[in-house]
Amino acid sequence: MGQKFLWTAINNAGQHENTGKYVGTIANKFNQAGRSVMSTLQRILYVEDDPDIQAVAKLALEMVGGFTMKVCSSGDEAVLEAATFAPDIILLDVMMPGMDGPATLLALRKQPALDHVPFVFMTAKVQSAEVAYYKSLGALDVIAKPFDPMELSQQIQNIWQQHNV
Amino acid sequence: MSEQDNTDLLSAELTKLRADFLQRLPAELTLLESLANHLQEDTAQRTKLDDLHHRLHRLAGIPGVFELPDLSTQARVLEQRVKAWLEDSPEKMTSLLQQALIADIAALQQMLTEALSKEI
Repeated sequence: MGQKFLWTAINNAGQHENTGKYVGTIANKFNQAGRSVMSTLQRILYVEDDPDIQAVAKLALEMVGGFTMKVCSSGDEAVLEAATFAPDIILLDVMMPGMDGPATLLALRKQPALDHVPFVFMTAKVQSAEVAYYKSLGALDVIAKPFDPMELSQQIQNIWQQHNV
Repeated sequence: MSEQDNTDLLSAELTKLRADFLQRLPAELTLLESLANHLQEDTAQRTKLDDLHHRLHRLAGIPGVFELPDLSTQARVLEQRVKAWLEDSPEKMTSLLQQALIADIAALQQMLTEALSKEI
């Protein structure tokens, strides 16, 4: 689905059908011959209800990783705003009031612009059965909380590269 | 800015966030203790257990980010205990179990006090 979307976009001379925001991303994803190359991770959507964790992760990913971050405090907010932000990857807290992480994922997947975006769960629930369940939903990986703020960027970069190689 | 500059800047910002969190934490632990103390008083027991569970879940995730991993670990143990009560039958929670929970929350407070005293 992601490849189809990208080819459609690049065939339109690099203009995103709706927002025009994908031009830079597309340039990273395709070389001049039009062959797929490893894409660059730049835009991260983080869905997390806790303000302390939000603040730490945002700082860590912006300052150390140099990523462009958007933080949503609930699944509902993410469903409203994610497509406009056009994330390269989505980080999802599992346990949130209202829509939890898996429910948020299902809602995001219903949006065509988001149905191919890879995602990672972040949770304190990291028993092996739970991790297996989250991966069965399609998660690239599961990041345990508490995380090390100094290592978080590299951790996500590693997950991204494993996914793209 | 160099990578080292960014790391230093992040470290400084994290120190501020940590100080802010630690300032709020004693009140949060007092609230947890109060919730545990009132669990068997009225019919809103499930609501209080839900609240307790949510707050312990937060506590399991945050202190470790701020270099207080033991607090996170212990909060996680209590979170699991409360979750088990919620999934089973809250009404089965005896006074003895409630007292044990209150004692363990008090132990969290003590753990925080000791951790902070080591930093002074």
